Amino acid sequence: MKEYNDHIVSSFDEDISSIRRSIIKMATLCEEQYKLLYHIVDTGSASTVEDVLKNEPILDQCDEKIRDQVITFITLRSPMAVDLREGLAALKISTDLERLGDYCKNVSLRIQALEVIPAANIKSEILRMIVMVQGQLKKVIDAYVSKNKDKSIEVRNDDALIDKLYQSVYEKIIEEIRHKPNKLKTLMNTKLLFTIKTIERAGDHITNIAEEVYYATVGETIKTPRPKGEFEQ
Amino acid sequence: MSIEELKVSIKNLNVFYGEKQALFGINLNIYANEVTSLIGPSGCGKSTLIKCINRMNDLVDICRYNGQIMIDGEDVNDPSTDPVSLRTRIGMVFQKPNPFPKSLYDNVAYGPRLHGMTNSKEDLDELVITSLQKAGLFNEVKDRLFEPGTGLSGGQQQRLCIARALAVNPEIILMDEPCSALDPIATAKIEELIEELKEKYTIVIVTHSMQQAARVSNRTAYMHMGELIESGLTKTIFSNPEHIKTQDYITGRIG
Repeated sequence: MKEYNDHIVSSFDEDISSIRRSIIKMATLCEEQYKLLYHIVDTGSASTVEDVLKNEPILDQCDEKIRDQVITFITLRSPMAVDLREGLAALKISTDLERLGDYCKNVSLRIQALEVIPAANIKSEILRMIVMVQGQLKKVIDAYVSKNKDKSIEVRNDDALIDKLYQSVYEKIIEEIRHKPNKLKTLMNTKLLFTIKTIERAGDHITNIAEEVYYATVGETIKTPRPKGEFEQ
Repeated sequence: MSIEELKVSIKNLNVFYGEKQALFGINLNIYANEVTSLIGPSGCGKSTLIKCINRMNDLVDICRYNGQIMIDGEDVNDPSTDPVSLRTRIGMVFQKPNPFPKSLYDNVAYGPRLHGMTNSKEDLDELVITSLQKAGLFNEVKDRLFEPGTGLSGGQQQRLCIARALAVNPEIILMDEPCSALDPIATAKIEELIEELKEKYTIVIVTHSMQQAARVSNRTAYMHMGELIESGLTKTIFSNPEHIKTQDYITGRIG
């Protein structure tokens, strides 16, 4: 990891720090949303769904604020090289975080609208998926904070675990549909298929962030292809 | 440009002013029909380096050097090289516009007259006009060619100096901070001109404006305390330089 000296103009550093603080704040709130999502899937708590809905617009505001900060930064500072990458990475990361927030809200509402409680084995695996997404999110924030390229590669590689778990839950749900041709349950299980796909996609956005962190830090894109769970191979 | 044609090759160049060493083992290739910019903090040796190319440092008594500078494969410092004819191949434009205290016409005609480049008044007229046209100045001054060059605006004076440099039909144009005394409009005109001139000439520009180096040049070389730290494609130097010193300089960090 390269260490950089301070800028001669100290307010330049303050601008960058301020953008980074905004990203960290947004990412932390986003991670919080996935903790709430866990609680929703686990307990079906309606008030927690309310919390998720309340937080979601804040993520949108964070995204807009970061966009404005980066535009001002580029306009006034004419950043180059590592500084320009820092600004552009913030712009892209905030877009991914905003999308992660949307997905979380989306899954919360779908879970709340289910007519039947999912089978215990399926529910526990969905919970595991959410834990993994939240863990990945935490780890990618760490990578961003510490500008740690190795950690960002780890996050990117570990997305395959979410993919694998997705595949496993997917097969279990299909199995359920096949063996219990109860209309209501089939409807619920079909909705669950969309839901787990959304959670799996959330993992992909975290991978995007990991790649952005790597690019901002190193100045090159990661050369190896993204590892995939067997399902997508 | 698909094939790069090497125009100037600088190998292991050391330059001393008396006891003080100004350049340390510089290796740099400059390619034909490209703009190469030299950047680096004041006193890093940029001007010294370009003055070696046309042997302007010959005029400094205490200046010594070793190493090699080849232009089209010919050694600039070879005893058989005539510095005067060498300098007709290399035009130079300085930081402060320095037109001679003569008319616009005489400014541009000065070099061709000195070197006996034209045989008739008509030829000389044509050379003056085409040089002013190449410098993008002719239309602005065509009605006052016999008025003093010093009466022009700063940006026009600088373009007059470029026309004067072009009049002797050089191959290489060295520009030492050509825009630092100009306003943004005049700067933009010079930059547009540089873009046009590189079709025919090889251009080396020293600039303190990183943005300018980024805008006008194909390649950039970063110098620091008499050493060439890094050179390469401008887009690489300004987006992802290899050397930490380059990164510090272009991003305005304390080195």
